[in-house]
Amino acid sequence: MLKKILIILFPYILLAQNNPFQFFDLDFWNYNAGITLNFGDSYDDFTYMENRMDLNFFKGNFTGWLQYEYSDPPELGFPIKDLRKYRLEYGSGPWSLKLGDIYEVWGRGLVLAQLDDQGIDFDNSSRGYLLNYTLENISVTQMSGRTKNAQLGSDLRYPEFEFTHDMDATNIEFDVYPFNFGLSFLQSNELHQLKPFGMMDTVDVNHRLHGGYISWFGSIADIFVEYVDKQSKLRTYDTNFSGDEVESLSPLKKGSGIYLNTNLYLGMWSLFFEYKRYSFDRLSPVDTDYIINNYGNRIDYQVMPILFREQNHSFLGRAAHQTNANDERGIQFELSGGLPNGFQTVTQFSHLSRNDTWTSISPIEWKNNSVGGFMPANSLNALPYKEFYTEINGYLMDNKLYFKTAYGQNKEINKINRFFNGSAETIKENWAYTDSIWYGDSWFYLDSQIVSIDSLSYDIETKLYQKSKSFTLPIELTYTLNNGYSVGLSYAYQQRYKKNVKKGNAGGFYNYSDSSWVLNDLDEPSTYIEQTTSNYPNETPFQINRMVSLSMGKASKWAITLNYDWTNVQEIVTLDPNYNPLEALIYGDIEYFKGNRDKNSPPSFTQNKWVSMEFSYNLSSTQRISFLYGSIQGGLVCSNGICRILQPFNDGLKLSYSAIF
Amino acid sequence: MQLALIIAQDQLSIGKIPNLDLKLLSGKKTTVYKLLESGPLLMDFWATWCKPCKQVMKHLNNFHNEYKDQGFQVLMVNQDTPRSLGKVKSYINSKNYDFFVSIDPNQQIAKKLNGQIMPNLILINQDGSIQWRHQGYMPGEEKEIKEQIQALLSVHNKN
Repeated sequence: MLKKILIILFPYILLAQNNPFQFFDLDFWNYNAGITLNFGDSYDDFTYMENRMDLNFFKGNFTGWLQYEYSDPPELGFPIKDLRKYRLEYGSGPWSLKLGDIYEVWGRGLVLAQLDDQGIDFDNSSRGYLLNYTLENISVTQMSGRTKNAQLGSDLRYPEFEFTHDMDATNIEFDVYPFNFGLSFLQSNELHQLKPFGMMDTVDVNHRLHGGYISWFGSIADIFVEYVDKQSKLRTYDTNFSGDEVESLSPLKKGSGIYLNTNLYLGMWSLFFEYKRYSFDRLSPVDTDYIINNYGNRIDYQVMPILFREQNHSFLGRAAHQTNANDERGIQFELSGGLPNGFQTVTQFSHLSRNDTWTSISPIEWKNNSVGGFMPANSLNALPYKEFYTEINGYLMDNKLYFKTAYGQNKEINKINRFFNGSAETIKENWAYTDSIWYGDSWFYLDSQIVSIDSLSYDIETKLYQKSKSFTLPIELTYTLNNGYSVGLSYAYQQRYKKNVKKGNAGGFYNYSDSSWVLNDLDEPSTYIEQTTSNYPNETPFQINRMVSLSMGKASKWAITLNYDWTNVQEIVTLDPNYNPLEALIYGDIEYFKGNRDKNSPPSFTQNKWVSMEFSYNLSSTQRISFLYGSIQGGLVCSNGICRILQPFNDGLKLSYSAIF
Repeated sequence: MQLALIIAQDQLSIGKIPNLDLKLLSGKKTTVYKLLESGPLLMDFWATWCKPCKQVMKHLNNFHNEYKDQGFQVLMVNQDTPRSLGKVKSYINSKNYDFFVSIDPNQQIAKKLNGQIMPNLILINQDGSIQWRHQGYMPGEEKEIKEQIQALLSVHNKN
């Protein structure tokens, strides 16, 4: 760690050489620092501690960045007690050089977008160098480095897989206002881990991406288009007759992606439109789930537009779609604008699907048919996703009352296990006995032969899939008083349906000799069964969620928020392990305070409910501390199209502190 | 040790801002120091999914228009990633905002100024010195923001 710090500080030591002691004087520096401390401890021992400190230095042509992290364990990911990130930048005239941890975004990320999203433990920065030459309208960037990205396996907190990329990339950008053009090339040699840590089983994959983008900026419209072509090859090594190791490349996968975005402006109204078609690896609906075994497709550097709404309400986030960056096409519209009285409205629609419709020829064999045209499909076996959201917000009562109300709905075919709708033929052989004898009091048949063959043809349908839909109604009100106080109330109601659908005149059995799905009733091919069952425990038909949040605050000083989250059924059933005083207070349970309750055995009325209270206080305009006590529901949390299952936080305390200097 | 002492202080002299390259939403490029040529600057970090950021933007746009005659400007640095970057311009247009908007999809400007917590306001004097910083937004805080701008402009106008 010390070596890395010295590398970053070395140029500054040189700058201070006129007076070496100046280096230790804070007035010598232009700097800023930021600290974030997060601590959490729940009743059922979910403990984490994440501390980060960022230091930025500026002096002359140099810029330095150091990030130290002490997290043992973090909320998600590996423990770290080390210098996590560092970078030294030098700029002079048209040249700039960066050494250390590099984050670059070219175009809309179809080739390269490097981000650090600690909420989902995603960081695809590369440790290496970047050289840039910018002169008037031309900018040329060349970079090289190594990226290690961890991937969760069966464990919800600690990653089990790691993908290492050694990359080289070049970008040339031309600015001829109102046009902007870019050409990008990226090559990466990936060491792809196939088994959890400790069991060395890897494959070497070479990825090559060529991309280009163009944008045009106008007064009433703008447009952006990006295209990428990608191919991957398997790298293997052979030893030649001289004993030297020779690399050979064999083709693995080819793919491409296109993205288009346009905005039309008319007064205070904007119509936003997006189109995407990503086709890097078209896998059957069953194979898609096995990320680790599927390599050579989209790589972690490609962080591309998702084309559905990034929700900022936890209910809408829980119901969000999990993007398929390898094989998905879609459109998104959003109309936003101002209404009389200063109100604002947003209406959005999104439709996505796979690039193929999939048919299960047999339990292990899938056949794909490309969806015609450019638009996403509605067919169930193309796994469509549709989303609609509308919102109105504004101020009332002389700008003192802020309101926002919205309606969001979505529906999706989440998974297909079996999907066949076609015809089948079966052969029926008619046998007759040709030789027999009478022995005792019975005939004994000695021989038989086929006398005729009947060929039967009939329609077969067998489908097994999961579908989901939901609608959410969030309402938010904030009233600001003249004396700096404000009160807020928000309420959300949600209904979610998750169903398993089984239908057809055949089931899940397959006759390999006939190459056909087996009918439910062999003698009656028209016997059709349709069965829809809920995916929630105890056959609960649908899930109802309600959330109430009450808040009060004094501007620039403090805020207190009470959250109450309720559901009628949990997707993954967890039991509240402790009955805490906040819960008893909210439920008005006097028996608790009389000592008549067993804290380790919460009463039934506390189940499926999560209550928490958060208090935040601004120590100054740059220092903030907050405490949260209570419980937070776990489950699926989606951010930017990437979802992870968050562990529940039961009856504990969270503390966070942030400061900037 | 010096750093520890600084942490203990309530308000700090926060130093100068580096000359950061900015890519504006209009497609043009500029730098922080070029924007400072006309007068003091208020920077804020925001994203389309950040509720308090959107609430404070309305007030910041008012301040931008109210004090632009005195050379004061507001710069909103957007933090949306490429996944949702396309919606930024349509949102700004639908709100009819007049302040400058730049994009920072890999959050590098935010990292250089420790602006990861949003909203994150930085009030910068014309000489590049940071006069005031503020994290987060609660309704009613616009009064303090306005006071800080007025205090800076009164000093700026005297000079």
